[in-house]
Amino acid sequence: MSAAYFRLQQLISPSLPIGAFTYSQGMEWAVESGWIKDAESLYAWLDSVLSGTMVTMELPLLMRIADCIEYKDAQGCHDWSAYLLSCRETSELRAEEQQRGQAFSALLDKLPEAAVWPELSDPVWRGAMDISQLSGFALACHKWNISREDMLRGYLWSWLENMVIGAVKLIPLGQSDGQRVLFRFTDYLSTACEEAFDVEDDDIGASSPAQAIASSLHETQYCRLFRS
Amino acid sequence: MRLEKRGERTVMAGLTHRGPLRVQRPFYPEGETSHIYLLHPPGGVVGGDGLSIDIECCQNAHGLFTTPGATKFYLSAGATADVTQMLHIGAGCALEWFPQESIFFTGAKVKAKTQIDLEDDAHFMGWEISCFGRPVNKERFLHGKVHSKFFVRRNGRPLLSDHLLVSDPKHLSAAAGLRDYPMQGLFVATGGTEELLEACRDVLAEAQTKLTNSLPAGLTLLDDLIVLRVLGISTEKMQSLMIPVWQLLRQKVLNKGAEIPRIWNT
Repeated sequence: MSAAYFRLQQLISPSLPIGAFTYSQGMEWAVESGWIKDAESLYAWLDSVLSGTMVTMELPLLMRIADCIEYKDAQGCHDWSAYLLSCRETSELRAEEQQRGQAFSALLDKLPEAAVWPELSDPVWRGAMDISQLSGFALACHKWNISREDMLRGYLWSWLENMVIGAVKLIPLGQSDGQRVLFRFTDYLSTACEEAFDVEDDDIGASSPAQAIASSLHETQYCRLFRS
Repeated sequence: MRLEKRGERTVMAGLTHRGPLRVQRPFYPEGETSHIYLLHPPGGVVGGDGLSIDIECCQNAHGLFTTPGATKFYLSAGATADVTQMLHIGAGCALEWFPQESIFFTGAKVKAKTQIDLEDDAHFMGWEISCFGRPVNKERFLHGKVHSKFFVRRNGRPLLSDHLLVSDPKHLSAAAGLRDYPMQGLFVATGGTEELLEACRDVLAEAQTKLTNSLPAGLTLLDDLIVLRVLGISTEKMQSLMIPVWQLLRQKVLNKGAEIPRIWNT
């Protein structure tokens, strides 16, 4: 088994110190308001974000950014990252995107093998990594020979796992209820990656208005555990 | 269409048009600001139709656009209707964009794009109200494909790239999507600050108390854009949340009175 497999596991682990567990992407307000109240409504929420944002925006952009890295197109990488940020619907979701991006590149700076990558010290590449978590993630996947498919699946799984961990805390749910929600998604996850392959440049964008409203209202939520 | 300020007034300095889309002569209910109605006499848009609007504001022009009625998109036999609205707002200019709602009938196939290009200190305020099916008649949007984009850039840099995509009835009931509300409203205004955002939140909260049932509605600040999103079942109720926010920002940012286009009252 190649090193690529283990490197991917490291990149998508909830223990990666980029603070993934501090973001709920509006779920904290959705729980407070009663939109999410049990395993069923959690499943419905995540299924909706998966098809309304992940498949139509993040995964297609991750592929575009990976292409730019492969063809050494720094400006392209920057432009897609800036586009991603402009698709994020609220100030908290934008702050999250940037904080995750910066935490990810700061982590790469500290890994002996990664620290010497020229992209980390180039202003255009670094600029892209500092506004979006996708750029740093795609760069690491490229350098460590992680395949496109595995990169997409890994990114998607990592997002889903972190959301479920957050929701188990928020609702609250039992650990095994959380596992059952994850389990229910297994079949759809591969389909989601295939659907993302078919999204054309012009159609890339997020359409999750209730999540955008939940995230907007989270900004003034009185009692909060999460940063988004 | 080209708007320019000449003397005390914003005038239509250039206009070319083709097909049934019409522009009414500007009128001036509040001094220099030019109020303009966009008219589409056929009343509806069918598959294969293309509507294209290109407006340029320059030399300190201030224009307010609206439509006298909703734009209806009918069932398509196959082809997609294409709507492109390009609004270029030059330095020192302001454009307000308050069309009435777009109604998408079952079976409509529509690609719509509103692109707002701001230069330097240019200002924009406007909304887009989308209605799926005809809730008044209890008609649901059962199939069709609508992809509506609302993009704002300043000096070429993207500030907001908003999408609304409904290509499957499940998108209408999606938990993080429209949650079974047939309508979405998106209001966007430049000139926002944290302080103004606070003031808008107060105005929104007060407007919510006047509704029997409050609607899902959230305000956020993106760069200098104040963005309000609302879900609802009737234009009037959604507007009752969006108009007070617009009125506040109109006064604070554009230094204009809280004028509501008279045609909305008829």
